[in-house]
Amino acid sequence: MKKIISVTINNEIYEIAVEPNQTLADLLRYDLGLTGTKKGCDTGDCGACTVILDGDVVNSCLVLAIQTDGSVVDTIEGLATEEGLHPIQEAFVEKGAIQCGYCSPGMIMSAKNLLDKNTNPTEQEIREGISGNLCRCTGYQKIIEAIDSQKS
Amino acid sequence: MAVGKSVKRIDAVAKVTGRARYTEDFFEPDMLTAKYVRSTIAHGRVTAVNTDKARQIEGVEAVFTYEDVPQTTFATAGHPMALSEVHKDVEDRLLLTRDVRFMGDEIAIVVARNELAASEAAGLVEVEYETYDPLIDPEDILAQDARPIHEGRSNIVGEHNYTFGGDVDQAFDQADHVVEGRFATAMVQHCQLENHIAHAYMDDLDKIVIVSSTQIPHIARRIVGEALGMPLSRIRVIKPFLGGGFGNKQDVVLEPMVAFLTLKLNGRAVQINMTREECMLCTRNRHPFYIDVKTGVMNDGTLVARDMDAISITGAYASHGHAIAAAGGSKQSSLYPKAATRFHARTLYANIPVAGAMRAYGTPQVIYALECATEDAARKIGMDPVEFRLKNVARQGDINLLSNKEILSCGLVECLERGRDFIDWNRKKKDYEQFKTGPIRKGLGVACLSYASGTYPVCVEIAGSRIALNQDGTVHVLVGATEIGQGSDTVVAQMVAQTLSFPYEDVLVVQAQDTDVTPFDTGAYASRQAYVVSNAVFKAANQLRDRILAHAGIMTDEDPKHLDIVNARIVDNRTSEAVMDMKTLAIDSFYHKERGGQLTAEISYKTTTNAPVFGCTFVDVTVDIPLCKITVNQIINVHDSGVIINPVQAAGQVHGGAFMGLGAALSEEFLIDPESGYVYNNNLLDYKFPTFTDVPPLNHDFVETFEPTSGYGNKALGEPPVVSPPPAIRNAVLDATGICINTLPMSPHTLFSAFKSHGFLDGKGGQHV
Amino acid sequence: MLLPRFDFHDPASVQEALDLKKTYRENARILAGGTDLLVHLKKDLVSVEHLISVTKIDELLKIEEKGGDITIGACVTMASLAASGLIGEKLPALKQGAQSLGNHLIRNKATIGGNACNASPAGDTLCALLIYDAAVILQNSEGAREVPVSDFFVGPGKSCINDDELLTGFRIAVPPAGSGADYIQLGKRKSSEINVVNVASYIEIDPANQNILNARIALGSVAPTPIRGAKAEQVLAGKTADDTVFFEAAEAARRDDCKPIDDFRGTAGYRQAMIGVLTRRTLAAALAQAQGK
Repeated sequence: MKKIISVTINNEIYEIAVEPNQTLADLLRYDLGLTGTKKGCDTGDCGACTVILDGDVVNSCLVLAIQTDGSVVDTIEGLATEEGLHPIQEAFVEKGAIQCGYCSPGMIMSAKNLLDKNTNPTEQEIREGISGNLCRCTGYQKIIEAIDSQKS
Repeated sequence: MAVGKSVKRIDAVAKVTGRARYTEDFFEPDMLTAKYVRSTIAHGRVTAVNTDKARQIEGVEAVFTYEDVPQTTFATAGHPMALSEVHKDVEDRLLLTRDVRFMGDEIAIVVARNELAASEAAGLVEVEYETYDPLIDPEDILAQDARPIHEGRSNIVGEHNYTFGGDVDQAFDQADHVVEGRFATAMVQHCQLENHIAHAYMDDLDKIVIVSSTQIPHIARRIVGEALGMPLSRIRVIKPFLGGGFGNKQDVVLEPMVAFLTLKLNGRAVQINMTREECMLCTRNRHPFYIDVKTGVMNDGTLVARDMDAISITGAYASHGHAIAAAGGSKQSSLYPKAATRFHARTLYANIPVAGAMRAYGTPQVIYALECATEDAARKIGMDPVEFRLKNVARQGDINLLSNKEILSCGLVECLERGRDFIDWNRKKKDYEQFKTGPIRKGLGVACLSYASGTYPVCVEIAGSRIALNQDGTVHVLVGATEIGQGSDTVVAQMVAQTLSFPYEDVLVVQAQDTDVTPFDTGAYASRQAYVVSNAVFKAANQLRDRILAHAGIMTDEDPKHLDIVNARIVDNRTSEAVMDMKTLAIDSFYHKERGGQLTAEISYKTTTNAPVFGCTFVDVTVDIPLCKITVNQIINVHDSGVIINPVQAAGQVHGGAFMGLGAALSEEFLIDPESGYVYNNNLLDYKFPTFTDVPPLNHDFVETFEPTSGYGNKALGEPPVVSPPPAIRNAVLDATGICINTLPMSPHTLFSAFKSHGFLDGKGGQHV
Repeated sequence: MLLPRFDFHDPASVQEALDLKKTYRENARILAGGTDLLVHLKKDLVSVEHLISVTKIDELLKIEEKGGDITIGACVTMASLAASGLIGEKLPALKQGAQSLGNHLIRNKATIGGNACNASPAGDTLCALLIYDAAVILQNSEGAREVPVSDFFVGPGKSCINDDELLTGFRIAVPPAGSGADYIQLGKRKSSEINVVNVASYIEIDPANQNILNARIALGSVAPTPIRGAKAEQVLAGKTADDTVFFEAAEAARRDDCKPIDDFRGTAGYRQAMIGVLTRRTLAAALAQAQGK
């Protein structure tokens, strides 16, 4: 049975009816058209669907939409503003941390969350802090460089 | 000058904002979902299939079985059509099959209004089998009485033999030493982040439109036509942004089926969106190889003879089949061109998942064995492995005796020298002498590679480019070159900007491929894209440049030979003064009532050269003997890929390739049950491709040469970096431990067996617990 | 990959959750972090009619120290455990276990209660719970009972929790001064891994003479459940802590305590050999910690 939830996504409040078996990833992608959140496995192994839920990054394929009632969700679509790209997005562009781009939205959400919580991470902390986001194109090298460039 | 600069990727902003739309981001109204019914055995024949229960599930629109599909076999390999029989791909596939050849084979398909109904119904299709023993081990496959996996065909898909460089047997006879080794590589997978996905519908003109995540839109169009017995012109393939391929999408996997389904369902849109598990089990992966190598060497370090005998396993269907072994074997002639060499390879069917194209196409397997064997030869005569290679590798001006072409650009010697300096080879070699006993050991390793720029002369190499001047003075570029994440659109824009002397930002490459619109090109594979497109782009850009100048000449009443384009302005080359800007010229060409027209240029060009590329990997490793664990402390890949068009993007290709090589060296493998053919680890948790925490910082360097056969001096780069890390690591482990680990991956389990058999884990005195 | 259909319940208190459990019994499952359960549901490995989510029950989210005991709520996530100063200082091997589990995304959802209820022999926090001799707190509508964690696991995926019970948390006595603990897990990767073998060791020494007052060793992935290394512990009892005795304990753990099997993740022989290496290495690290090094 559908239930109406109220969830704040990218600073906008959505009142929306969801099925209990619907994941947050599917709600974002198929109901709300926020297709920047990607799905690479649907079982929490790749991190492509990473979003920030109440301040923490999660695999949105392993969160039920119904569980986000009253929550705050940030997705890749909410990062850039009218002023332009978020600095971490800018860094990914500048450093060449993008190839096929399929992991990029999730990767960037993890990177942003990492830097929000730890403004000056070591290389090891960066590697561990985004270890759940898989990338098959870059060898992670340029991604590390992009995140490293945003340390304070 | 746009070439040689690290301009920003054309698509970077679209990708970091999540706006880039991939195949799954396109929704057609009322799109149906299709799910395959897959075999639960690896080898057998379906005796009965019952779809009654499946059809009763609410939301199910149709169920098709092997009885409902066209009975013409087709080939799926993403090759250009071969006009000669010799190079023709093996036509061994039907849309659905009654004969089961691997666990996961496609027997039926359910189409439903939603994914849940489709999955549920697929699970309710009842299938009965007559089962046969799975053929997995090469010995069983080659046995006299082995059942043919494809009725009427040999289990040997292809075989060939070649020699070059003189009489091989005689060279072995004269060699001071002959070193032998046997090597094996695992089946590994691409694991591109975006699974295979496609949908199809019929448009207003009854044309079948296929939207697919493919590396080969134009080839997919032809193969769909062949599979469905339909004129190619009725089929249109669109490729949106693509989330990685690495060769897995250089095969036609889903396109014929979605086209078939929309045809059967009156043109309704039907999508197949593979799960990760399906994508890993039922698309393509890398051929496992078994290779015997014999090397003849003189006391002075001259490599004189080489003999390789390879078995390549293509799995249940041929796909790229024997082309893989043939292509892999051919790379040694440009690496060690002077040794008398024989290569013999056979490619076998087996009841395991289907192997196809994967980054570097047979070369990682062959060069792995070759470079391990080279190491063993150097050690046999007590020569430094770097010196040994410096003495024997190709140099500019050498003749590749297999193709009989001169090597026009080659920086391999300098690659080796730079890598040696970077890793601090000579100092560490001495320092690590003290780490050759005890639980923690250290070593250094090196391996070389050579590769090709495209597939010529085996296949046609054709590329198309159309460039049009816009009214605002910018240009739009259409190419058939396929952007799959490797950055080809950006590189094309740089090439056009360079030749036209336009700012890079004023060159707009149309992102999506559409076979109704984009010029013909066979797609992204064989590291061909930037090399083959370079000539088409170079010629088209020059043609447009001439037309722009001609029009400027008409407008200014000057001889065009006195005019030039500099930074998108028309300049008088006698005075260097600007005559007009590009927008002024463009507006005139479009709207002047009597002169001009839209200024465009279009070239379709066939490349009839194939530039060899070179490179090497150096590694520094620590081996924890008791833990059976290799840690790569430092790694560098140094490449000669001609002129580097975009250093940052090029670095990304090197890092990505080295990373994939590290995975294949240390942890990646399909774990296949040798009895049943069951794959244990077709998911991203159990298939161990390295995470952020598993790779060291990746270093790279380029030795830039100028390749005269290329539009901009550039050569192949996309695939080569994956080739040399595994043998370099194996050689470093040998350096550290004295043990030859001749099986990939060198996982803890492989090391455990090797160390155990060498008595390393006996625990005498306790030091090894 | 879609989830099957089910009803969802989101109780705000333990009592409410227990009432729901009572109503739906075997048709209900508790949903904590969901990092395993939702995957199993998607892959059709388990079926369920009612999911009872417990992650919004405040009392299950606390880490507290009271009267020499640390209590940890069942829904404390791996990330919270790893970030807790209290856990890091007093139960360092548990912190290591929490930090090793999955990856940063999984750790933000996965809970310690979920890790225990899954009862995987490879579970990352379970070896630590064993060496700290944790008590598992189980509640039903009648009240609460405590079970030593060494009795909690019954088989792969099976615990002694009853149908009407909810695991609400763990109670662990704060280890005394002069103690140390360490945890090492092995897989092919350093993150996003299911352990092939994992070991935790705890040691308490008399600072005067380095005699071992108490030692506990837990072995993962080498039996149907995580187990204590009883024979290895016997070897250590009363001895002076040094590398020789650690080697003997490691040999005992390898030879006598573990009963690994071959599976696709690793062979029995490999697992067994690694038990020896990890036992010795964790004991050495635990000792260093006990000595304040």
